[in-house]
Amino acid sequence: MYRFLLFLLVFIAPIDAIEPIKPLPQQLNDISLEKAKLGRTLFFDTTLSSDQTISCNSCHNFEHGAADPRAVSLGVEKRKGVMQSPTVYNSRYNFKQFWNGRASNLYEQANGPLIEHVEMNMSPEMIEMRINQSDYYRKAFAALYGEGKVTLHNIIDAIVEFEKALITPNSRFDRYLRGEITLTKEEQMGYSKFKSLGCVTCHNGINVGANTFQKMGLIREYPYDPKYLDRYALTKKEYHKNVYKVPTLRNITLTAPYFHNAKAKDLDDAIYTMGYYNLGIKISKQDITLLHEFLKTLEGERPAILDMP
Amino acid sequence: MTKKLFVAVTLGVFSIALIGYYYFHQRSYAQQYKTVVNGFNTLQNSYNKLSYKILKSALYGYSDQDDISSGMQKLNLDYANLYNAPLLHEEQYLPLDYPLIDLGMRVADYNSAIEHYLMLNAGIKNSFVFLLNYSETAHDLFPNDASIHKDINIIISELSSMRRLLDKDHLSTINVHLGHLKQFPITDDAQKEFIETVALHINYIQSNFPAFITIINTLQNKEVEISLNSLKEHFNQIAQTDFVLIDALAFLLLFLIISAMVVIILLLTRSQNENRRLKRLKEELEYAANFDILTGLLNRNSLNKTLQQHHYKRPMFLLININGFKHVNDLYGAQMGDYILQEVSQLIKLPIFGAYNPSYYRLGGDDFGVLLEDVSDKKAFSFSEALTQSIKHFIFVDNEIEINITISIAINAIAPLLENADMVLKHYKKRQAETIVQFTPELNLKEHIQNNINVLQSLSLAISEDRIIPCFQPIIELKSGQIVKYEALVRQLNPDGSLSTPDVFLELAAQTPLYRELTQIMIEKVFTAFSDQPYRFSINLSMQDLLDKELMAMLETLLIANPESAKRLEIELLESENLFDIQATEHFITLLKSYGCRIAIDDFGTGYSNFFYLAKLSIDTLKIDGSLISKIISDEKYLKTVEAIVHYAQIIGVETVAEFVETQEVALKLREMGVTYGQGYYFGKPQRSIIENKIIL
Repeated sequence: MYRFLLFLLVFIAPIDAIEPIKPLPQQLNDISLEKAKLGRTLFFDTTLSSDQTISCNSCHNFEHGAADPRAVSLGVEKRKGVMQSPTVYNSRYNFKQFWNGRASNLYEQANGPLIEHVEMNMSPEMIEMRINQSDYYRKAFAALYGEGKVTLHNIIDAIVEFEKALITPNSRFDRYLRGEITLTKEEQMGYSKFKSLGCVTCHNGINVGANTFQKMGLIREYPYDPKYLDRYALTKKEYHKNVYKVPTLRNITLTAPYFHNAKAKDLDDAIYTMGYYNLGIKISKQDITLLHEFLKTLEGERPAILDMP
Repeated sequence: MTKKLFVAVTLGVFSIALIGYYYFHQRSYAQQYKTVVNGFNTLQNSYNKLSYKILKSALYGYSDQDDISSGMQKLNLDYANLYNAPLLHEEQYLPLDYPLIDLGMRVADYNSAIEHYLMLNAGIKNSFVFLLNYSETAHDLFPNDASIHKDINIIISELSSMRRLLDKDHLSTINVHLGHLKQFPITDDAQKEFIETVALHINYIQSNFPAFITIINTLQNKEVEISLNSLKEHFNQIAQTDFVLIDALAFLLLFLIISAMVVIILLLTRSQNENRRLKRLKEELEYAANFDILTGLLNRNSLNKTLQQHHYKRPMFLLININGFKHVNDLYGAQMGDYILQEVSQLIKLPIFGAYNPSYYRLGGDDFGVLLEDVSDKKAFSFSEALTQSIKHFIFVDNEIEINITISIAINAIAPLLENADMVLKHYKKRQAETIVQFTPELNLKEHIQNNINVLQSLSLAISEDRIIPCFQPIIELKSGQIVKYEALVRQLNPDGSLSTPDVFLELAAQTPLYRELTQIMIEKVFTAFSDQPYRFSINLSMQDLLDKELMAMLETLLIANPESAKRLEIELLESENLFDIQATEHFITLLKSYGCRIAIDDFGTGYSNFFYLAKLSIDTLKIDGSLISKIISDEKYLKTVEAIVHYAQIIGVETVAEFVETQEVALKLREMGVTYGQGYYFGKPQRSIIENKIIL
């Protein structure tokens, strides 16, 4: 058995390991469009917040890479959050949800902000009551989920269905990976730097990240602030301090500010900070430019579901 | 039978119910069991794959960690599926709760170890990449300083070994060279930054390596696998019990089915046997209804049926009777009798009968019948002749005893065939032992039989009306001419006052119970008549009477009660052609003599009586048969015969009585010859009363 595995390692695995990044699918075939559209309505509906001022879209704004351009989001009654709101694009490919990965899937995640005091501040009963008061929703849910009272489960299910449809395919880099185009010289060099400097060690896979946890300040210690919800907040293990889910780099150019604490206002700043703390190097201006060029190629198309009638 | 049937049906129904239960139980159990085993295998598989992916990530600079994260998710999912397998939450699997939860903890530990490993591995990997890249930079920054290159090279080499061998001991060596590096006299900021950065990475590796080794070891501990195997083992132990139960159920089921089958087979066999027995019985009954069991011939019933159903053209019936068959049975036993009947049943099938549509019957006892069609009287006679000859000359041998028999045949073509033949045969057989007779209406046999019936009815009536009376015929002592004794003779007094003599009724009565009554009445009445008379008196008794124990007992009672009369009683023994039991006779004579009775032989000289009897038995008197006496005057031969008898009697000292004395001439002649007594019409006919003593001769 182990000999066989060794054989695999030596002869087959290298082929598999040629590119550590994989393109997004161009089409999804596991989506119920009707449910996704209903989810889309819900996503934009402020009914789902206690004072009816906030929708999901308030903090996952599609004009800003499905993230929040503000350092922290404002919830109901202008309550301030703690963490910088991450993008909801391609979130189906995140191995865990939230910065500290406390939700293992989108369904679990969606529950969070709805109930969260500083976000939408609802209770399951309130959500169901609000939705059931609406003729539109009652009919729409009846058509898709069967007659009867609209349940929280089905409400979240529709939102999740919408979120699953939020992929940004056909980025320049994906097309490059598929062999459709060639990158510019700068982009190509940026990608090489991305690999040789070690960024790719954590930012890999289909979502260019979002598949492991990593410590902010791996090589050089990053200042620790207990107000942030890191892995430590969950596990209380010392080595989990400042440990977060590695964020996706797809559409990274659209989702400033950066990091869980929004300390990096622009991408170059973020690249330098990452190099300094996590790679233990001071990345040169020239390299930052190259890396920036490369990261731009990860900007994909606006999800089709957003513009469907 | 019904009970067994009930048992079989119950067993059957129970078996079917059990089969149903067994099937569904077994199927659901098998499915659940499969779910669990699949759960084990899937989990094991996912674990193996994940281990492989980790190994891969350790070896390659770039690796797509989606693989690992999806593997971790898969492992969690597999565990959740296994945990949710319904079978594991059945009561008997409760002991698995702890191992199951333990496995869950191991999986969680494993996953968090992987997460930790990935964090460390990323840093260490990157630091190595950095160090390897920066050694090139070192050449640019320190073009003329070999020692720094050497230190860096040694450090890299040591770090590589350490990483490869997972051995922390290299750290001390590394520290020495790191010390060299830090003390290197730097000349510019670039150099300073270089050394600081190199130190940073070396320090990173140094400080994280122990944790890295620990985490590698943790991953290699295979605690998931160990826990999984322990769970599997536990599970299999419990499942074994379940399988044993299922097996036991299967065996029980098999046993039940076999039992039901055995009962059914038993029932079937029994019912078959019963049917067979009934069929055989039916056949036997049918056979017995139509056939004679002993000889295999058709029986009387068959004959009647045949005669009714088949309209024979000129039927001819031969009724065959074995002469003296009763004697054969008496002398040689029933076995011989049966043997003879069987042989005769075959002997009567003459080949010549074949042409006349024959059928053969045993009609009961020693009567056989042959039914033929379209046979003339003449032919019937000649066939019968042939048949009698054939049987006469056939030697029957059984148990080394050889005997011959003869038959009589009655031929009859007139309905009713059997009855007529029977009638004529019985009629003629009285006279002739061996005969072939034919029934003809002219024989008036029916009238004859009716007459016999009338006689017996009349006799029966006479007995009931006390009209059986004794008559007394005097017997004269020839020397003195005086009546010395009387012979009592039975008479039936008819309503018209006439008397019937025994030749009318006695022969017929002898075959009926009336005969004993007759004898009893006679003895009683005679004893009464002579109780106060001085005369001797005689009573006739036949062999049949002597053999009648009840009658003999009654006689003895009378003798004891009347000892005086007994001394005057003389018994005249009648000859019998059929029976002469010498022993019984001797016994009888001895008995009566003890009471003082005398014994006479009746009808001596014509019957079967012989000198042997005279010699053997203590006889007192010989009564010379009347047929001899009546002719002594006219025929010299008769005279001589009587003389010889008388002479013989005188020699052996026996008195003689001459019967049928009808004339004085005869009486005188007899006296002259020395006959002791005379009896006959000359001296007096039988009278209802005793005549007074007077001289007659």
